[in-house]
Amino acid sequence: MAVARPAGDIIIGVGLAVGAALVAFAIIPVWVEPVPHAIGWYQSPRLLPWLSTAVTGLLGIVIACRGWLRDERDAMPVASGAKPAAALRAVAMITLAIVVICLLANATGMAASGAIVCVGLMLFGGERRPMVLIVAGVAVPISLIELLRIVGSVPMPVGPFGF
Amino acid sequence: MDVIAIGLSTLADPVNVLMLALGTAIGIVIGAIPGLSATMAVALALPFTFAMTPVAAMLLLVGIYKGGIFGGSATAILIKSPGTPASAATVLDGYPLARKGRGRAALEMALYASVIADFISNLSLLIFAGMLAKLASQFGPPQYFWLIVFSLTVVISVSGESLLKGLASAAIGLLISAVGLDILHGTQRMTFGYAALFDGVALVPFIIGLFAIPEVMAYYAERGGRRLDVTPTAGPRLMLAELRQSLVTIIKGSLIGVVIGALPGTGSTAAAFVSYGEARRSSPRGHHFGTGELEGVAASESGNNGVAGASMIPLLTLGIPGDTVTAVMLGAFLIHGMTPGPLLFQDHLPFIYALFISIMFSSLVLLALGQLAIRGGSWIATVPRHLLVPLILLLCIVGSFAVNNSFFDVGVMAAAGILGFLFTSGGIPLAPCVIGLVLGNLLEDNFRRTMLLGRGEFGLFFAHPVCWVFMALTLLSVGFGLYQQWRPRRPRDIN
Repeated sequence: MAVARPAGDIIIGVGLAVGAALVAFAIIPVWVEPVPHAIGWYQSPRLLPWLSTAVTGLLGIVIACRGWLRDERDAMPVASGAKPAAALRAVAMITLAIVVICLLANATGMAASGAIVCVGLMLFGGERRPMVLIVAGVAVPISLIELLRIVGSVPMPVGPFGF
Repeated sequence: MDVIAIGLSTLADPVNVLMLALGTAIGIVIGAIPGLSATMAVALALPFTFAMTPVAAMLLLVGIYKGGIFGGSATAILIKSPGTPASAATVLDGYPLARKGRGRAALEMALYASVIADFISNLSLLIFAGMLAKLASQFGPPQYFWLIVFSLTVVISVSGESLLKGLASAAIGLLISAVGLDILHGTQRMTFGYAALFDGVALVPFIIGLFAIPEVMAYYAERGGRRLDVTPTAGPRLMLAELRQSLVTIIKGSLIGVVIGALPGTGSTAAAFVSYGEARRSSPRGHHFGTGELEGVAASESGNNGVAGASMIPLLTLGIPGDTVTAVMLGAFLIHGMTPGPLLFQDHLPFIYALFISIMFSSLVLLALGQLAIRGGSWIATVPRHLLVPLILLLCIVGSFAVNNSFFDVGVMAAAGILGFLFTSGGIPLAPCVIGLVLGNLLEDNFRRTMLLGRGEFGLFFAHPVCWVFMALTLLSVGFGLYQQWRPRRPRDIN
């Protein structure tokens, strides 16, 4: 993977701190039921969520402060060297691919929906040879899923074609 | 003797041998593809073990783990890109050897060192696991609490370059572990009204999403990444004299791997570098290390493979995963209705012996398949990514669905994937999050039980010598980890 400058530590730290604040003030009070009859503080169901959120928030502040004090050029390289727009596009595309498979699976079967998405992604990846698309994009996913369904006894939605 | 006979009969079952071989082959192939790790391969294979017997399932996963670590060395030697972090030290001498035309000898040295280390590591598992399980069966909640605190120090070693980000990742893992019904009161915690979250976030889909989906997203974000300069595996073979010359280094590296692997909180990457450093210090040819020395490859590979068997010791005996791969394997035990820990040795003794004996056999399987892989080493590294990545995505979806036949789990996988992608984009390590998720409930449960037993006082936490031992180990581990993180870097380290 390409080595590139990281997203700034300030952004990461602020993101962690804001996320922790959201969990602490919007999620825990609403979505973690209190237990009125709990005898000690250690019995509270909110103990672990509170502690872990507080630690995340504090670490976020420390990371942001460190990023503020340190020259960004000294920051460490990270794995992904993608530009933000490309990264967002990739996240949206993969999420869409997952949603498409989930929506189609009950109607067409897991194997067929998987093949549709695989062919789409391979076309997006630059593959244009029909034989390669048929073998790698259709035959391999269908064989793989059928192998898992029949030999591996993994229950999977089956479509009108019997696979 | 009966259990040993059962163990041997298990090994005679062709399905088990087939699963071990299949797992090793899959592991070698995936480990040899840069960017795909052994952890990811084990996580992807996990849901497909449902229909298997527990022994066959574990052998498939153990095979993938071991094959993955060896496979990682192939790309380290041939394309200067370690397939797994554990093979990073192998690059130092492996790649220069390949450039000198001794790629094949380097691969063979890596294989033989891996197999010898793997055998020694498996032997240690066989010898020490039972003893430790017997000791652990006497632990109560305070002892377990400190043991888990000690195990959490693994976060320091898996945090990579940034300890602060690693700790934040672990804290997020702990927070996610709180999702579900409260253990003491049965009240809902962050379930958002979804019944599917009452038992907590499904571990397997979460791990698949966290490790595999970011790789898929990164591929499409970078559209192909860099081209690979693959060195062919041609050249003279390894000579027996060369292997004999490195034998002491291999045995020393194996023992270093065993000790490091048996301790939660270190892992195979650290073992490889410690072993490499020790060999460079003690070898008469130490000053040649880094320029293409076969002994350097032997040191690194024996160190990282020495960990494989030994890292199963804390998992099987204490129920504590020592590294990320064993954290994933914990999921496999849970899928098959078994909880690792001292009780496993009481309730499932035949299974344990069957597993141990089969694992011993895995060294031979690795030797045989490794020989084949050396011939196809260059080819594996050049599998077209644009054809492979969609299939990996499909496996992620199918695997997550298969856990509970639920598309909700596919959603969990997708959410974990986005979280993982955000983490990797921001340089936040993924492994501490999994460690936090796996250990969070155990930590909370044992803390609250100890407090209840102590009627709200902290005294019980310090009342037993075993607690003192774990406290001391925790302090030592934290101290050593912090020293490793913040010690002044020498120019040679930076280079």
